Amino acid sequence: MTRGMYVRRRLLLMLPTAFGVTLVTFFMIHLIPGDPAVTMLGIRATPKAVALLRREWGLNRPLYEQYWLFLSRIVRGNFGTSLFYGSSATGLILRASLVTLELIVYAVVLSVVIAVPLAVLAATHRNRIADQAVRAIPLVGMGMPSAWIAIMLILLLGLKNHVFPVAGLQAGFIGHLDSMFLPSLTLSLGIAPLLIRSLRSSLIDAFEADFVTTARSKGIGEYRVLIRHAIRNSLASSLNILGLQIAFLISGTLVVESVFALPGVGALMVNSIFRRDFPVVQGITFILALAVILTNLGTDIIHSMLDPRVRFE
Amino acid sequence: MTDGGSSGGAGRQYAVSRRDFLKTLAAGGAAIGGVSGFGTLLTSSVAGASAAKRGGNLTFARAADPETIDPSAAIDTESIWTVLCLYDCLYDVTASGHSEIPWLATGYELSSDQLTWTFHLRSGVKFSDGRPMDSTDVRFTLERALKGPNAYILSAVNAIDTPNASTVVLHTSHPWGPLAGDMSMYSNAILPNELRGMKDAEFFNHPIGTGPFIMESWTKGQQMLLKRNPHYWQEGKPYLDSVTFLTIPDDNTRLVELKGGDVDIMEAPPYSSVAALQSTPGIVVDLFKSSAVSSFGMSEKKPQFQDLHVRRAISYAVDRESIIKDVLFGHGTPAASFFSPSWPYYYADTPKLWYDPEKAKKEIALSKYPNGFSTTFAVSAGDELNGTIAQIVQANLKVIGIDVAIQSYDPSTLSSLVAAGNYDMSPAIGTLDISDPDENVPAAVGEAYGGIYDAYTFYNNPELLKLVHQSENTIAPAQRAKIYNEIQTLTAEACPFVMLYYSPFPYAEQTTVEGFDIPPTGAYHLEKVWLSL
Repeated sequence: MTRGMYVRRRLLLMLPTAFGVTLVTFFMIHLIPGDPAVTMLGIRATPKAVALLRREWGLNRPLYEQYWLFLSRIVRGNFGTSLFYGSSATGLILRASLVTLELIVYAVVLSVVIAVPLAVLAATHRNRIADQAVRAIPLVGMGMPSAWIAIMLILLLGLKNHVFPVAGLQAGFIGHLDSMFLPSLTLSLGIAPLLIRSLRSSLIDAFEADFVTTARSKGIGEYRVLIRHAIRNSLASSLNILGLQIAFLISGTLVVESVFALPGVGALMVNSIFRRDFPVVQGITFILALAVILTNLGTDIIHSMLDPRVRFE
Repeated sequence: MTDGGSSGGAGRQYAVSRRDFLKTLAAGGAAIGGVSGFGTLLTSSVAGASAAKRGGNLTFARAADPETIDPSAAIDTESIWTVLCLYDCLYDVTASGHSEIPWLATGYELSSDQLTWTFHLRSGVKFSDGRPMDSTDVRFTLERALKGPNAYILSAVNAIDTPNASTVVLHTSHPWGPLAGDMSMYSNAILPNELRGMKDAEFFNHPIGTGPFIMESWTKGQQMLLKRNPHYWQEGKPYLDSVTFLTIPDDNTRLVELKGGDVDIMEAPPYSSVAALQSTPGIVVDLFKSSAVSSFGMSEKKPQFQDLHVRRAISYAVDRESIIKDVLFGHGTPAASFFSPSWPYYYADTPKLWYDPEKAKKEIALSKYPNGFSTTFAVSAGDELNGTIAQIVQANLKVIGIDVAIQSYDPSTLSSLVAAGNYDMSPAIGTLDISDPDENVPAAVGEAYGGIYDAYTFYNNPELLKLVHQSENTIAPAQRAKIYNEIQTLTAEACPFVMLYYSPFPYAEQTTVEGFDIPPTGAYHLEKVWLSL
């Protein structure tokens, strides 16, 4: 089949998968102990007040009815009303998702900017000092907890030298780039090492492949060999790894968001679970499930664009 | 108390003129007297303002986002303290925490049958939309508050009359000592009549109040912007043009923001950082006397804790000094009474069932469980402070043969379990928001279902119940004091919960912040704050 047909089929399959995820989440969050009405009203509220609030929130209806209501709202793009803030859950979730999305995109860009040159450096100077350094140093980023990296960056670049803002999200495009730099860097230092290693080893394999030998024997300059032939053929497996890491990042930005006080989806999700803010938890799960599926699809598509040998069935 | 010239950092000197000095003396003398008139308020505010500068934005970093700015619905501290920036109550709590001062009301009379309270409203008070405040607003607010989660504070009121625009009459079904104090409760902060015809959601997007600040915007989970209320009833105040509340949950990030100068005041510096902060130039640490009381409850739904000797043994076994050293880094004092010293009617001679391993062993030998038993201590997941307390208690109780397993629950599950009494021991912290202990006493030892703040013990003592009702139905302070002394003594001896310590409200700020001085209720009173840059 063509790429177009493949993409259409994948997009269609995306919806039932996302709904499957929300079904599991819905029942899990409703069946664990903890009543949002009691949490909201505090322990001095009368049982009557609690019952009234549960009725207002529709929590006294049978679970399957509540799930049906949730589904019927979602297809219209409505996540309901947050039990805690009393405002539209859709608005809350979208605002938070945009922050996290920015964070992830920025982190991916930074990690590619860090990984590609370093991997090329290592592969072209194989087993020499540059290679050893590039293989050893990024392991620090992989091994250290992101909270520690975050605080180190804050102390070094935020506090001591005032190069970047320490926390919070500043308004405006430049404000965003500025205040999101340190958090995105923290995330990218976590994912770059794996990318560097995988790209380096694919490059080394490519350098030894027949097509590179052919290119060199045709007299093509080393630089063109590198860019047009070696890198293009090495990106595929690293791209898969990047895709997987993005999928992990999507639900893993909580620590960085906490330390840098960014109002993203991680913090919103955890707080909503603690408060049993059902509509928000359900909405976020749905969005995250969609995001992960789309990321996988995107990775496959880009892979097929890079490598014409890929066939769809 | 907030005396004018000396509330700044070390070494600050003000040129205090003789006139200002005399005013400060007058303010001091009158405030000690407790409930007093109009004059005191004006005098003390002028005395404090001798060097104040107008202008500037105060950046205030807090650990959590408020849940609501609807006074009747607020129950978490961030919401409560934010509410008090936007709206005012009829009475405010003094700096000592022991009495109320007139705020939007100027005074009251009590009828001879002690059932009718006639409150007089201050004239010239305007809402932030310029319209004057009058008795219809007060009546609307109280009737609305009777429908929310804080309705219990008005349970004695059975009718509200407004004979004229500046008078509100409250009728109680029986004599009710705490009523003036109840009027200082944040949930009774005055809203405009009928919310100016708006629905709740619309009104609270751009609320209208008589408080020193108006909410300009609220980006939930992130920050809230307040701007100065030009119609504020206290002449010349607030000094600040605006306030930005930032929500920064991570303790370290808040600390770094303060050190980096990006934030003027930070809430709750971790106790472990206090010593280092105190020696940081440019930063001042305030450990304000608070109304906070920490303890842990023991559920009497479990047979072991129904035994008086078991409870007393546990209290004698717990090493409070050790807890204060490890958890508060020394910034706290051991508690005997379930009243904090900053609550009115605190009884300093409350019996102390403090660390005494010999007495603990004697008590457990007298109980039905002389060889101890196994039990659990439930804490909220991620709560480091109470986790540490749990570990110390675990070690302490081993000595008398009680084996404690520490269990971690997520906050919502824990509060459900505690509310139902399905726990063994669980920590509790309580604060007082008004100038009368009645906000907390009934929930602690009064009602049949017992409970302390947020740890229900289900302790049921009919004698205590009777005393609690008496404390509410008595008006004369001297008599109420006697009753409360007895309540505190009996409670300490019966030991339904183990009292741990009294802790402060810690804040850290830049030295450029002046006038930040909060009473034990924790209300910020940002109308007194100014920036000295």
